[in-house]
Amino acid sequence: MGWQGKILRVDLSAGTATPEPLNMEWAEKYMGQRGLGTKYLFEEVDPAVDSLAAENKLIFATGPLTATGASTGGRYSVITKGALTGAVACSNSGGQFGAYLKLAGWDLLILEGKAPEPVYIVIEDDDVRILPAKDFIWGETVWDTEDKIHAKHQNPNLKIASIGIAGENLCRFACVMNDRDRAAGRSGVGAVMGSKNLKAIAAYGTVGTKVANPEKFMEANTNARGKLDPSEPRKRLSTIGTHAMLDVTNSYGSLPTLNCRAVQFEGSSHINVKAAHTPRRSDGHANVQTNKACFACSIGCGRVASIAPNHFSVKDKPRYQTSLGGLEYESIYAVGPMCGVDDIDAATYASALCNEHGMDPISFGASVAAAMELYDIGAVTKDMTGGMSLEFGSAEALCWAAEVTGTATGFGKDIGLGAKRLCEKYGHPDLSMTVKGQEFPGYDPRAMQGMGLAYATSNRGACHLRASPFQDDFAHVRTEGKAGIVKKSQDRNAAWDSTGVCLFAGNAWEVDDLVAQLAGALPGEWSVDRFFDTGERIWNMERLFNLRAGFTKADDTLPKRVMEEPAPSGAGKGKVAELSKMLPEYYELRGWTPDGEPTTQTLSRLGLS
Amino acid sequence: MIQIGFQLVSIDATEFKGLGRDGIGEIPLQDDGSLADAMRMIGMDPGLGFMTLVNGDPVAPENRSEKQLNDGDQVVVFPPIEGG
Repeated sequence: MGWQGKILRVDLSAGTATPEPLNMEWAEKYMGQRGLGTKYLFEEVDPAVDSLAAENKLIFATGPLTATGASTGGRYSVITKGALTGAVACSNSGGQFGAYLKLAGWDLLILEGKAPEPVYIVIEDDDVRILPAKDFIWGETVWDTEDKIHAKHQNPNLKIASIGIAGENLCRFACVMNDRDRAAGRSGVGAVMGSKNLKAIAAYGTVGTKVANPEKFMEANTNARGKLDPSEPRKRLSTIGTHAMLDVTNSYGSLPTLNCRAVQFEGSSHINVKAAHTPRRSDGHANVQTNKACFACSIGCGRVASIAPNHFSVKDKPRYQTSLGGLEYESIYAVGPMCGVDDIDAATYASALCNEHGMDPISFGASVAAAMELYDIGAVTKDMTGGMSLEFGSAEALCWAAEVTGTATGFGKDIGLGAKRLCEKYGHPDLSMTVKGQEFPGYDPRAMQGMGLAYATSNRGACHLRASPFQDDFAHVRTEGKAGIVKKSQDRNAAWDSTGVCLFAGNAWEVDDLVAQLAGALPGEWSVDRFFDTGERIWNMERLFNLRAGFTKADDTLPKRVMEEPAPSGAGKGKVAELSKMLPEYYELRGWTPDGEPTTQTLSRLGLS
Repeated sequence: MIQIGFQLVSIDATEFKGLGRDGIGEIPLQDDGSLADAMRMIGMDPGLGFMTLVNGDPVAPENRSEKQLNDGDQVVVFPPIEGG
């Protein structure tokens, strides 16, 4: 009922795949996807384990609304101890794969151990096969991996999640990719998959899904669609996509630029959404060709793009002179302004290579920006890069960096360490724009104080999706009230990410709209209060995992640059991120000690004692 | 009368009046006009969830009626989008 009631446990060391009943007590307390996957991780993995050791586990988790027909209900998450951060990691993806894993009858897939030789897994309902990947797809790109699996198994309907060459080589920000250009992108979950010698998982299902009360579910679903489909946010995301945020943050002065030396980018008009929709002189086509949607989604925020065939990045490379996954806000921020690059074709190429080789474009772009600053101050030289001038603003350097990082070649191995390890290696740790080792998304915390608190307290490191302080941040450059906004939205998003539904539906829905669908799909009583309680429980469980992994209050911080160097322009001009004014109140609202540890009363209240 | 510079960011300008197709233009406003008055001049409900800047500084929705504009002020309006 919502849940399939089954998990699949694959021991890669032993080469076995074993079905198990889902722990229903946990399912009722943690729902699914992020919450339930993290509960299994919390119970089964020592938080102190090396994230790349065989003892770490990798969990693919669907939600109770995944593949039920709920709008945007095609999500799954990959949960593990992150290779980038050493913290709890949960990366959420759309596309088709998650829905088909659920349709095959599985709520969760738990991968443990390490295969002695590279393998991939094919799941067709109850038929699960662990097959050799060596001399077949190991060493291949994400795109070629998908094509070869489809061809070999003669089933074009198989939906595939895989790692690219970056994941095989343990690039710290490697993704798990699915459906060519959808990604469980953050925190290095792809490196954990690579460490297990697991190249791909292909799923196809015919089992279907059931809900507890079909009539009630359909009524709630119809109401929710009636609200989402005609809404302004849905129309905006369909037509101009998340890319539209670039003009917003640039206008506001919260667009991280030149590794956060600046907060507005003078070249933004060359790479903004208008530029992406303007036909090129060279071939008459625009960068954006069309949009596309994930499973059961009526938003369609994904972009399909093309690069000018005569652009230096793709000249004589027909492979890239076709339709590619296009730019989204986070990717264009990272490979554009953060690196000072105003070449939309170069940005599209770098983003496409992130998809092809399986890298998180946020961490990739921000790591390249850190490398460019190291080069700018002379800490990295041409001798180290093999002759490449890593200058801010160089489109050639950006494209080169995508190639050498994606293939783990030369200096690309250093970029693949992520900004934190890279800057430490070259003696300038303060130049890493990271929290808990994870690179900033596209919001500078000097104009957006709430986002600064959200970054600092995010359990997976700097993240724009763990909290939603956008509205208040775009209305007030202040610290007052942010602790409550961040805390409440963290709880909301933790629960939302546990349902199987996309956060973007929340641009049109209230929590009630989602809870009504849960109440139709699941047994028992579901209310808004239970929803928020569940989110708070998940948030605290993630916090406990990190505390046991060795994180402390000292890790709830921001880079020195945004704490000490005032924003040079924009709404936050003259301001720094004033974390110390918000953090104590945040801890208090959370029911944590001044050292950031949940009190026994808080744990008891949440059933986490 | 005073002149106010207006710019719509990531908003379809064809739904509003007095601005170019690119969402940029100047509008006339009475001397003691507020930001809310300026938004009404282009046909935009100041009570909607759009975010506003005046000369680069954010003005919260609840302060738009009190925010008096001066000749040459630059207003930027953008949608309440989240995520990315």
